[in-house]
Amino acid sequence: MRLDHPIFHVPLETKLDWSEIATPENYRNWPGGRDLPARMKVWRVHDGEFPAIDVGMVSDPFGYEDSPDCEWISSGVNSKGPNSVALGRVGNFFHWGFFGDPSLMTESGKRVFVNTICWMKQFDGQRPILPAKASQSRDWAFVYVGYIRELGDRDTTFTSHGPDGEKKQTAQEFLRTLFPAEVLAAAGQGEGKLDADKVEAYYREHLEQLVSGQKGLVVDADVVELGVSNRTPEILDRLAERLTTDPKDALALRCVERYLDLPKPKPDVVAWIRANRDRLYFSDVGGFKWRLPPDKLVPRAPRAETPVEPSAAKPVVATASVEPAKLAPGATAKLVVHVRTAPTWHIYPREATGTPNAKAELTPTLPAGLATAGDWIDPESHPDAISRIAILEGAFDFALPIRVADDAVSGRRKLRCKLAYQCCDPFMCRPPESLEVECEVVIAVQ
Amino acid sequence: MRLHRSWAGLAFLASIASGQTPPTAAPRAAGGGDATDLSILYAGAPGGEREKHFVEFLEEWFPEVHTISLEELDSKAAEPFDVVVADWKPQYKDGRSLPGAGPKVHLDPGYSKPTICLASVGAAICGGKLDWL
Repeated sequence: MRLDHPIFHVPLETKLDWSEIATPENYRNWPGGRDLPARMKVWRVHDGEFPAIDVGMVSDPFGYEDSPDCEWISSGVNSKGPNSVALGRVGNFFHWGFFGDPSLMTESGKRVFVNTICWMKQFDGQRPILPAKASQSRDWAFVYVGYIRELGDRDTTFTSHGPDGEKKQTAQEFLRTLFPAEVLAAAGQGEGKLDADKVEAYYREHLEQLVSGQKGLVVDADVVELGVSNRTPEILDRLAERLTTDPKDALALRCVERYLDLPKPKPDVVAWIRANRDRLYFSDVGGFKWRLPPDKLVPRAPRAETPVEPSAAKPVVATASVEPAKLAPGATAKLVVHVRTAPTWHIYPREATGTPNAKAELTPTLPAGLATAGDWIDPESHPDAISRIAILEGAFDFALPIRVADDAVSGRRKLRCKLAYQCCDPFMCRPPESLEVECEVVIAVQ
Repeated sequence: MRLHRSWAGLAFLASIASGQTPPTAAPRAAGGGDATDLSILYAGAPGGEREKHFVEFLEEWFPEVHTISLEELDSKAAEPFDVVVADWKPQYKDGRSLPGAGPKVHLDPGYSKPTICLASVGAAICGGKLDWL
């Protein structure tokens, strides 16, 4: 749940009462579900459940927020996975997935419903950007891997009805239809029982290069050759560079056709990329395309300040400090970025190799009177248990040597640092993201 | 491919919040102003218990509440209001889906009024990302 969302706070402050339930077993094979504890904290929205009242509805969480007009707010107990959307916004539509009417709602449920009505007023005129889904999000690769784990050992016959009549398949035959043949071959899956760990490892390694093909999610060889993710802005820069060098660059032209939602008539592509780079967003669900958002888009609710404790909702948190915190002109110190990841989550070191996932990148902003005095000192990494790629997890620090100028003036100084990263757990990787930390140092002339 | 449609039971559980009684007047948002001074259109199944419960509840919090059949909802009907609550009657009996019980809604393509969709109504009137998992 995004407990920082305004629907839980304004205009009516709402006290949610919590209790616990056994974590639904069906969550275990869905992304984010394997390492959930045996019991989970829950909030009751209304009394009554199916079949006494109708079922509610949850929506696909994967790619839900890959367009800027959507907000994932909360899951709800359901028969799929732990992140299924029970409360969420798509443009001017708010999905309240619970069926209970006000006669069944708890007091806090009613107050959140009132707050939701008030929250939605501002989205008048904001139709959904994507009226229909063009593709599944690439994260569905890991849902299908979960199916292998759930069904792989079952002595079950699946019956399907198609144009050629009724068709019966074993569980393994059915599971193979979920993955393109080229993916299974590349993951070393010949005849015989599918190995979920190997298929997952293959998809994790190539997550940033996946594209929706005719028969499922496949690795885009052109993106592999470019050496970037197809959903971070670096691919736009790379395409602009290549087309500037050679306007007939075949690989770049293929990627433009495949990934850019260009207006009609077709503009000068390089000029269009350069003019719009910072506004473009990438949507898997919107067809694996870079798209321009509408001009007047009411933004999502801002996220709360980085919490102290990492969680499944916010797997990476960080703070910063200068050690020592009080310095004289000419002194040296270290800007330290303290990072913590939630259990099962990791990020990639600055010098990680063998992965297309975004490596950690730190960009300090130092005030006048302070300057860097060396390169970042990296924390010790270790190989991931499955992929063997170097990762950082738990609690670790990056340290940057800094020096106070000889003629620095006394006073407090604020230092900032942006940490760009991509975090993954054994089942999924979030899109590359960043956070910013800041801290103070006191310069005191002796 | 999905194995089966999802069901969503209770969204989490908790003891019922205590000490929170409905106000007799519209509450004021922090910082002044009456954030609940909104006109609401409840678009549901006319004449049913759900409509009654929703209208009674919404009238406690909002100064203006009107009703319409969900099957008549469109931009023109929604235009005078601030927010629409879109709802429908039960579509299950004894745990089994009732064929043909869903609403027959045809929102115009330009519909853009803020709309809260209860349970599966969103899949019926919006679709796209607001769909069944």
